[in-house]
Amino acid sequence: MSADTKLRRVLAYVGPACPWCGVEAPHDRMASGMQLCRACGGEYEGEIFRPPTAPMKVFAVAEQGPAGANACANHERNAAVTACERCGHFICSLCRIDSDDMTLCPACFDRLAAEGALPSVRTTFRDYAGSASTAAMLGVLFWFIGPFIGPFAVYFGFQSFLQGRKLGEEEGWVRAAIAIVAGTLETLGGIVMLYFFSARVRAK
Amino acid sequence: MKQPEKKRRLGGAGGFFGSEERVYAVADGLVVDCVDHGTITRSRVFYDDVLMVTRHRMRGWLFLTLTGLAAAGFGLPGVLLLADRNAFPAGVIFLVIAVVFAVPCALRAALGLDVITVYGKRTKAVVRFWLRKERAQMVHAQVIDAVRRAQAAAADRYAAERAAYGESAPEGPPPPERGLGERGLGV
Repeated sequence: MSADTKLRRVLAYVGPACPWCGVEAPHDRMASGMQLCRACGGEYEGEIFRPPTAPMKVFAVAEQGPAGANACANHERNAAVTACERCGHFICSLCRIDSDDMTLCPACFDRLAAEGALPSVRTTFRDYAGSASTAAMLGVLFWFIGPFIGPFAVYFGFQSFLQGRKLGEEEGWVRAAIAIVAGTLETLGGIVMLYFFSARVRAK
Repeated sequence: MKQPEKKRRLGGAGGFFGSEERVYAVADGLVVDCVDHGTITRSRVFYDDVLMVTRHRMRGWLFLTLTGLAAAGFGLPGVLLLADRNAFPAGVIFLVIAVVFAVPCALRAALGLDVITVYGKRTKAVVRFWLRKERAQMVHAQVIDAVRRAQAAAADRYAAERAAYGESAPEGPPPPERGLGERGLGV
């Protein structure tokens, strides 16, 4: 593999590429069917698509006639087509962003996305379901730490439920429920085992 | 409460040391969840943005090498220990561990790994299938069909919008961007 190929593999996403070596594929010149990568010689089956381009009509303020039109707050020569639902500024079709059933200007969109107020834009989440099942499994494998790690399994399990309700997703609920039950049992069972163990030690 | 988004798991790929990638199909595209040490990073590939869908079969030489070496590393001593009556149980244990590595190595070498990659404009989704070849073929066909339908619907929608604006549909790639200072564009 050439040095250029190696470098390309660690760079950010470049678009359609050879699935073997990651070198960018000449999508514009390709047709659907079996493909042969010129960089690595890898063969693969490729289905090519050319997605349609969305039309964008920008109306100039000067074209709106004597009555005129409101100008966009960001582009003074563009006529506004709507107003931002958060700040109320008039915005043109270039600035308009439709997200989460709201029409926003770019500034409000950036602000709300940074605050995490737009669920569809949020890209990073805590894996509470995975943490709950890991904690429950550790408590089962190492029973003597059950009283200490069981509560974490219960906590992460409930957080997973709340996160699922907030995001409107049902994935991971079964795993979270099992982790809550296991966490509760290992907490109680661990306490009982530790009590009997300490009782025997005291008796000796 | 927001209506649950209907997600259908297509598959995914396991990684090393607690990382995992899960791919779901939703109404308008594919959702890729990268789970890495307790954090999920989510990206989407919309059907409207898909540029290419590929399918290929790989063996994964790193996987084959590691499992093969592990199988040999436990199998050879196991065979030697079997020859010694006193160490027979230990030899059996070693052979059992060797089989645990040898079976996936042999299966991977024989069957390969079907990989389906969906390339969008900004990101991609990768789904791997090991033993379920029919499912790989089915998912590949389903994704291609969904992309075709979504892009055909988008083309119809855009054509209707262009007709409403009074423009004709472009014949080929979009025209080059006009420079600053011309009327009609504020950028």
